[in-house]
Amino acid sequence: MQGQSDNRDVRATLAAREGTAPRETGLPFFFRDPGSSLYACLHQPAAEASGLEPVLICTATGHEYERCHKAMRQLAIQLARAGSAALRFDYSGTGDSAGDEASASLACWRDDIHAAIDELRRRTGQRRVAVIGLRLGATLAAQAAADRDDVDSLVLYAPVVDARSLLEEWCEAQAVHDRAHGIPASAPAHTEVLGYPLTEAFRRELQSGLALPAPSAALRRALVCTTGNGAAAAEVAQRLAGKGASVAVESSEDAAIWRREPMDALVPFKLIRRIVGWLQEGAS
Amino acid sequence: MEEVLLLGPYASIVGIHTPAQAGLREAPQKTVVIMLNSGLIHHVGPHRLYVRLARALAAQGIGAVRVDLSGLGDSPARPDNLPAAELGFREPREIVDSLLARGYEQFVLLGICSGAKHALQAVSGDARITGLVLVNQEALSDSTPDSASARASAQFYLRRSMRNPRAWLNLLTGKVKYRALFSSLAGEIRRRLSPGRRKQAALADLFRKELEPALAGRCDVLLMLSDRHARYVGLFDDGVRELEALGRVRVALRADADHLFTAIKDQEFFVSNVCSWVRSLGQEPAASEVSDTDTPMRTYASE
Repeated sequence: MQGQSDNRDVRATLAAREGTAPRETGLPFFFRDPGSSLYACLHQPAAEASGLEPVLICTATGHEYERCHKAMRQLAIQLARAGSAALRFDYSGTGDSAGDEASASLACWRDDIHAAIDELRRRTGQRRVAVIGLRLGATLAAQAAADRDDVDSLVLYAPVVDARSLLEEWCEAQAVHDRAHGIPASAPAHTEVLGYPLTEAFRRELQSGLALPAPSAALRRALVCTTGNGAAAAEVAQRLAGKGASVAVESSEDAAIWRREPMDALVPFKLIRRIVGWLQEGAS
Repeated sequence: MEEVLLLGPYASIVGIHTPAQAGLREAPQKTVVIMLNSGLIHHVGPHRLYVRLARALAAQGIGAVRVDLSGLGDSPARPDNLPAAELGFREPREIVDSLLARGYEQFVLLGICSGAKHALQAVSGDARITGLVLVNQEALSDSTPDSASARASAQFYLRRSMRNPRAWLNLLTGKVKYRALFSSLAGEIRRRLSPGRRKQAALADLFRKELEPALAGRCDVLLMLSDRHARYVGLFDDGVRELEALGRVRVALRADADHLFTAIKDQEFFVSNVCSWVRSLGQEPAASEVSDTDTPMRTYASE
């Protein structure tokens, strides 16, 4: 089993790292069986027994994943410094996880989120968790949380609820790239976006797969972070508040981190501090 | 079955090891390709290119490790405050140290852009590194004189514009800077008529000088060039041939690809060329590939 093998490797090398790198900077590992293994990175809190819930971070997908990696790692580090264990992971067919991009699907990624929550609980020994999602990861996190009774808090960072807007944005990003490199305009039906395939099956799934379900009764609090579209955020907040959860909305104009190339990546520290603070408020 | 490695003297370098698939591991040489960060992009590489390449190599019996140098991607900073300028060439060697213990014997460093620069710096004086894949290495383009760079760019855009209907439309509707265009065209005509044109082939010497650290040892080199980097080489007719005539340098050009091989067809070109070249390391070229007029190494593709 890959997970077992890697745990042995990690234990063997941890001693070398002990004292040289703070625990909150993260320790990577694989979990699940080799054919479906997921890459993850656990950022452990600097101090034990802080009382804060562990946090799962569900990142963005496709080219947005690459652009947001640095910010999501910083988010995890800041959470760990504040006392929460934080787990980042790559969905199937993305990052270092098993599979290829063309076979990825929203359903598969939702299953991955369930597996990652289970893994986080197993590693931290805690029963309830908080989940932070970014872009499509936010939508999928909300959908996965609705099916569980162990997600206490949910942070949705620019959730995607409109497939047409998402596809338009992706295709425009491709067009901007093409123009910058003098490449003749692509056919109207883009089959790839900035180096990642965009299959017809995935497009179809997007059309019907972004609806936010009614939240689980176990959801106690939610924070919706928006980067401009206040109306959409209010709609999401209203949906999440359905069963009595306390919902807050945070607006930050400069937090559209997925629109900047990796070499020009932004870490939205102000928003990160707000998210970390909001999670701490919930624990107190 | 991929695994996480924590490499270097402080276990601060995160590496993802993709071993050769069972039953395919080559014998007797055990080669591993070490993929270095491209700029600030973490170890999956631009558009997950390193993951795709590592798995393609593994399927052909070759191991690979994609790494984050300290302070990049998922790797924490080193505790010893090593200056950034030293980190780029010292850590690849420390990674080699760590991988020796896992049974690897031959090491290929691969880098795109700044990663290529680090790979070339690391190879200097380290005989364990037997192969370099340098993709759009910044130093090569930095070493070209400004005038040559500007001319290469002008030629590239001129050729591209001639194939673009929108550019012709712009020309006919007055949406171009006519003075700049005619100045560029006149300069090109003057250059072509100049008897000193062939002197520009001396730029091949600059390229060769950049590769000296690799060529001084027993290292083979695959130079993969796209975008403006391909333009620089393409500008000088003999440059590519001279490099390949060295016998240990192979050049793969993909001028229409962008700097990071973004288009999926360009990624496929990248992966297949690196795999073929790594497989060919240490092998004598087939007799049919060598003739008095040909060079032992072949260019895979050109624009």
